[in-house]
Amino acid sequence: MCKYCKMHAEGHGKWYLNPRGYTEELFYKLTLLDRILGRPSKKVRDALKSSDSAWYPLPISKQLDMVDWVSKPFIGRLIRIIGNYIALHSHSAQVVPLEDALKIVDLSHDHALYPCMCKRLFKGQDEYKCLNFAPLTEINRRVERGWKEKRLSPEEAKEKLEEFSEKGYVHAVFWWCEIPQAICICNCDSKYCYAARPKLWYDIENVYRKAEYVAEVDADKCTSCGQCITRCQFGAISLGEDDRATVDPTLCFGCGQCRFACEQNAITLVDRNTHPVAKKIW
Amino acid sequence: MVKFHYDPDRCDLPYDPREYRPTKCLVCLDVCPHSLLMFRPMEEKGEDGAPKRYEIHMTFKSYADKYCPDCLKCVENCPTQAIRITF
Repeated sequence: MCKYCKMHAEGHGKWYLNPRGYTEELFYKLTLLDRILGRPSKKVRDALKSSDSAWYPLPISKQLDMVDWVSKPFIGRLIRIIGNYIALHSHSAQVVPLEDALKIVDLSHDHALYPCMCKRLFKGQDEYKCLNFAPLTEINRRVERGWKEKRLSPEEAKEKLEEFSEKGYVHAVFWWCEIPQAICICNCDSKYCYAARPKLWYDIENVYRKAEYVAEVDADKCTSCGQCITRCQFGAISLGEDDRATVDPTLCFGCGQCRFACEQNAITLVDRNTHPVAKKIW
Repeated sequence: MVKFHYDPDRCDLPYDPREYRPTKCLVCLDVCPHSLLMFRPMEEKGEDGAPKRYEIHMTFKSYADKYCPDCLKCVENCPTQAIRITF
């Protein structure tokens, strides 16, 4: 259990399984300053901004230029701390395995697919693979230049998630301004993902948090076929000295995609907290 | 230090006003093996408040310093020679 699950799970085990995160009460809650100024809540204001598909690339490009300052000497560390703080109070993700993603679909309502913004911006292609749910879908419909949606029933949403899983995409649940407000499940390819790359390249922890699990290989069942190695997006699996697949717990994100590539069912997910090495790495 | 120069007058990304994004070419994004390039609206606004033009922008500059000197595929593949990279 990560520190945010301890703070925000409220007896449900993980923060993203807390049903309060899917209610509208948290989303529309006004602070005193909002009441005085007569404006909507910060979550609504941010959602209205990000729903404008025409202008949204501009703030993203500025954010990414700022992220690059992490690699500078001296001030890099400070920028990383600030980045972690901003990520926690804006729109960032935690990786979830397919089982937990399906539970999230059960908890949420009003599902719709949107084109993946990362693939649109960095590859110039639209692929409908970003699964949003209420209340964000409702805000998206309000915006004139908003994203075009494909509405789905919960059953269709689950089928889609399984389909994305077969393609090897990693599921990640995004929070919005504060944990536990969950708003979407992205199905990411880390090659062009602008949340995964700051994590992998600049080590900003909160931008793309690792899952609550870590993968382990049963060496007796492994046949050294190498399918899991090609499936892992994070380069965490390699063939060890005895020619059996081994998972590097410091690199593993716990997405569980390697399990679906293994025909021998040799890979299982274990709780990250019980793992001696991985429990400190998020 | 890699510097990315983009000439919007040469490139002229064909832009679909219904989609709010450039819909053609984008060869540079497609060929970049590390996806360091992205498109973004230029700051001028049109009549309806939507962006008028788009430009190509390079992100993750410290990674560009590592990878770009060996690649330069965007420069090679650009059909209108709108991209230049200097070191």
